[in-house]
Amino acid sequence: MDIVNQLVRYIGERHPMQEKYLEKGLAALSAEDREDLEKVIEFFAVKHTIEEMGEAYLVFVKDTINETKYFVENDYSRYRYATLSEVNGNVYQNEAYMSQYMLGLQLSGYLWDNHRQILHWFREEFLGYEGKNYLEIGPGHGQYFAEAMNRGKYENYYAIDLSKTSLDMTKEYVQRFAKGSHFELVHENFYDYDPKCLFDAVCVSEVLEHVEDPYVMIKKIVEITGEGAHIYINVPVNAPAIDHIYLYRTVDEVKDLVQKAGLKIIKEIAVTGNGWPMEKAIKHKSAINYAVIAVK
Amino acid sequence: MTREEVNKTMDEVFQDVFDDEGIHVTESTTAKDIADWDSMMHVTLCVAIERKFGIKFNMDQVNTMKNVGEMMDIVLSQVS
Ligand SMILES: C[S@@+](CC[C@H](N)C(=O)[O-])C[C@H]1O[C@@H](n2cnc3c(N)ncnc32)[C@H](O)[C@@H]1O
Repeated sequence: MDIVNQLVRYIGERHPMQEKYLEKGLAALSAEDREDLEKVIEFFAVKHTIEEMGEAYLVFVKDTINETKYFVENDYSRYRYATLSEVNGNVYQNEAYMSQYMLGLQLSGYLWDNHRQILHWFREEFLGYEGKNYLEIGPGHGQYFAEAMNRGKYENYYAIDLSKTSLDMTKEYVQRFAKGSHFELVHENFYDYDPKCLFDAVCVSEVLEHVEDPYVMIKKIVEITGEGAHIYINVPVNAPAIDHIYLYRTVDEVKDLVQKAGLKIIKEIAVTGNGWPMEKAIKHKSAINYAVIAVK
Repeated sequence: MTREEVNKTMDEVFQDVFDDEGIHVTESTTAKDIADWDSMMHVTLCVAIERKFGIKFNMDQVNTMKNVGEMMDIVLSQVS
């Protein structure tokens, strides 16, 4: 049995709901995606056993289910936490937890249809532009950052994250998977960031639900970018997770925020979390992944 | 409550949650038998069952229950 099947079997045996979901996810993988997934698992296998990877994924899934239960019990009205201080110590600054969480999240990038579709869209739609300086806010596991370095047409690549664990993971991932070598990692809260250059592209993927005031964050992105800069924003709607502190109830809420900050949306994609038609996901208040490319 | 009564009420909860009056569950029904029964709907279902029967699932139960029979066991262990 290959390494992908071993991992999926380990998870399925311990989590009946995931068994069904991952079987479907695996069946939908293209040959190329499957090869990429194999490489990622082999990369993690240098440090971790299949069991450890399976457990990391299960921690990520179980904690998400736990937060979903809270969300449903509260009639879809709020996430459990609302401030950075409630999640920072337990998640971002907790190395043991954060490394499991990011590993699980990264695997979901292949195994979950919605995450995979969004990743493809990012690659195909966002990485064709050109410029000098590229910034990612909150790279987490580093996969988007490595993709940008491989396919993007920029001279300098920067990433900023408030989690040291995320930056360590990004560094290792980039060193293994990215072709270019010119990159800089900044360990800081983006709200405190004082960059020395203007950026031509900014990627902020699955971060704006981790902050208390997303409008201030987007405004700051606008301030540190040049005219005509491209900004990729990916935000989940109605998607509880252990460190999601800002609830977007609709896709329009996200859209309004981006436009209110003075950005012009030129491309967008919305994908339902469970593959349902959009109307059904809206009716059941189930998760929607929404991404845009906006121009300053 | 008897097992049969719990099963009958379960049917109503499932029909309501999945918006499908044609659904009838048995002890051996699993997520694979109902197309829309995924992780998210599993949670919705668990919360609906908790409310209907006035019981509580712990997270371990939510994560490991394999079929409707196991759900019924938990319900029956908590209702008189
Ligand atoms: C869920 S991960 C996103 C990973 C990746 N971008 C993706 O889309 O899968 C969120 C990351 O954002 C970081 N983060 C959250 N708030 C931040 C802030 N205010 N400034 C910098 N990084 C932040 C977290 O430490 C974490 O690494």
